[in-house]
Amino acid sequence: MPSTRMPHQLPSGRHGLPRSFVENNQRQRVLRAVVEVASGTGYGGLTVRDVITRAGVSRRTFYEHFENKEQAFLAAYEAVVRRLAEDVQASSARGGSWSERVTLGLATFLERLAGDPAVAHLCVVEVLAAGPAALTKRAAAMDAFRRFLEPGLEEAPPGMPVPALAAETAVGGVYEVVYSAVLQGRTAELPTLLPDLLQIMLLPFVGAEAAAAEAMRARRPEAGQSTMAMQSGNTEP
Amino acid sequence: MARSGRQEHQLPPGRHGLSRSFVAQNQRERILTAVADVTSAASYPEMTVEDIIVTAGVSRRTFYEHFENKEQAFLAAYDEASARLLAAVRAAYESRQGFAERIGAGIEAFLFLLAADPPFARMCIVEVMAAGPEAVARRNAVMGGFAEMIEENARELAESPPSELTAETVVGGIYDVVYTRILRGEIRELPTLAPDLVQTTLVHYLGPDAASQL
Repeated sequence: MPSTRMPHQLPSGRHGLPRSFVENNQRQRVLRAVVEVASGTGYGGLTVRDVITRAGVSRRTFYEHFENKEQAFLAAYEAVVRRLAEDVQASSARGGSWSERVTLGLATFLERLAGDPAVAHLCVVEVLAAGPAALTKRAAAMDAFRRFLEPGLEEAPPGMPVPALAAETAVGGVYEVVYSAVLQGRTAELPTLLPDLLQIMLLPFVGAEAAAAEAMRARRPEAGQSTMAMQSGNTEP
Repeated sequence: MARSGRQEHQLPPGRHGLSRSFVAQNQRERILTAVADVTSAASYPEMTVEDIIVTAGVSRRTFYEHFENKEQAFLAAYDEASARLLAAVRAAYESRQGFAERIGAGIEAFLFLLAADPPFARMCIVEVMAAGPEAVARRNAVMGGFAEMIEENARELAESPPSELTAETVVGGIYDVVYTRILRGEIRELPTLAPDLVQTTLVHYLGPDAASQL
């Protein structure tokens, strides 16, 4: 146990805070610690000891919340992915057309990851090394992003054939680009990839010209700023 | 180590007149094959040196004569498997003329090779992502090799080639589709994906109409 209290820790001793508040605070601290420790040591090197030290909770408190490190990892992954998906949904809902919704959603996705490299590392890199249950959760998340793109299959101009795997390969392609940027320590630069990635993603659905036009709009600085401004702060757990 | 019967790939025990380098080579290959078999059944984190030596039919001492630890054995197995995959895809790709034909032949070879050997497929595509930073770095180099093949091929196209990220995205898209199917246990069926994966690749370079006509 650390000797000094960290800013996010509650005061020790009697403090009159309700039990449910304390428990929730502890749980959030454990989840955040999992994100930070796993992104540093990798899932393989993650230990309960490192997590409780970082979170400033006792071993006993940890086990009151989670059975083992895998369960804590899965809960942390679920929390960050839910937050990410909600943010993507919320910002994309402001778009009028399908292309605009994809632009706003992708911009938010990249900004979110760039704003919190530890989260990016956990949900893109470490999840692949955290065992079968984590892979199942990741598959569900990938599938949600695929379904987000699926309405695009109806967007093609009349007579333009859209590849059946367009949505699935677009999601996998973006994942790969993000994955290698995170591994190379370029997480903060992800938002700069927006125009190029967008053009590649949209092309199979709307054709080269419409995709290039949307990418051009995304290159205008104010397009990126508006989504940035909407999502300041708030990168917990 | 207690083993009741000799496995078919094991050499006869005792004096057999085989050269020392032949024996060492045979042991090494058995260890590498065992790594693929064990990781595909148990996943990389669960794999132990004990599992490997039992499956390979070698002693613990022999294992450590060849490899320092399980990670080194995995990396050696991955290097060999991925080199074989890359070489087969390149050979298929170079055997054809024309952008679309080359991409088609490369993707088909990739899928056929994986489908023919499920433990090999699982190791090359799924387990490598769970085997630590060095394994991931090697996997990324292999992905770079595939992307390069598409890019050098694209340079022959008359029109201006798409942005550099296109090849990386396309290779990543194929990878993820294959990864998902392997996790679902649909390894034997991988070759049926070829037409759709070829179309989704070609659309970026040749446009929707040409991509759908192949």
